[in-house]
Amino acid sequence: MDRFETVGPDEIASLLATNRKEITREDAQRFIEEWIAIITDVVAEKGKLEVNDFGTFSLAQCREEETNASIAAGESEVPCFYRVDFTPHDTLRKSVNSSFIHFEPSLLNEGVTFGDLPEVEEGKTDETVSEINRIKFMMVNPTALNPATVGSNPLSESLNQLTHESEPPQPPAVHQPTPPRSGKLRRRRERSRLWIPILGGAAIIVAGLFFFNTTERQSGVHRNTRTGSFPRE
Amino acid sequence: MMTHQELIIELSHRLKWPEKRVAEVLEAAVVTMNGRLSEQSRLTMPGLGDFATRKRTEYISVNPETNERYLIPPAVELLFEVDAELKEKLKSKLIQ
Repeated sequence: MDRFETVGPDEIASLLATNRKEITREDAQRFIEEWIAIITDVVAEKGKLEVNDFGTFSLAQCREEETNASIAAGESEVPCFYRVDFTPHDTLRKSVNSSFIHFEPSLLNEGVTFGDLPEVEEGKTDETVSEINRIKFMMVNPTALNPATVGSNPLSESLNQLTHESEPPQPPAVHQPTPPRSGKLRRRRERSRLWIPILGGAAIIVAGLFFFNTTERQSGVHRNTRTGSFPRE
Repeated sequence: MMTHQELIIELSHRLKWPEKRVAEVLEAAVVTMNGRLSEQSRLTMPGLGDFATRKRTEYISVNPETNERYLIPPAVELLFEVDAELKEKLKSKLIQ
């Protein structure tokens, strides 16, 4: 950092009261405190808050590949990563960068070098601050539990989604480990198994009756032709 | 997501101020904070985090597909470091 003057909420409140005569210092201080409280509550509850001309606070999941890898490996606990970000509004970003705002990237000819200047692959960002803002915690792997007992926690639901998205379509295997089933599911399966032979038997009877009637009709036609009379329509 | 207008309404409820007054004070607060940050001061908000500026030096950016190289000029960037208190609050919310 070039300058290290630290400004806290008190200073901001004082400045506010100084610049705007209609705002008292106490009001300004209350305002700043409530504003901070709302930002923290909203980021925790809704994940995103926008302040015009200042920026957007957001909470997002990150490093899903590590989480997915742990789920796929069947670990009992999986690491979950979230990151708190602040994206400055264009107005603020340009204002902060006013000294260099007129400089633009320039394409270099082949072979042109600049001594010690580092070369960075496009798109790579500095991870230092991201690490500071990262929240990591361990979560019980929801796929290791009975699917019927997985809770309604949105995080576990999103982990479930990740599981389904990350698994590629596979052909059915001959031997598959059957997950533990609850009593209700077992009874439902047994009931459906009973119905199959009953329906099959009924289908055989209906088919038999159909063919029996057909042959009866055909033999009726042959009898009439032998006697020389036509069947009545 | 909470928008700017919804923030004003919420602040109005909590402070018991009219929305118009809240909007004016919020605008004044943003202008004040932006002004201090533009002077490259560090802004500390207890319970939320720190806003700081950092000068990023120039570097060469390489496009991996085309191998084109660009000289990226220096810039002053705005950084946000979240408060430990907020981190803990978010962690307990996420674990629930």
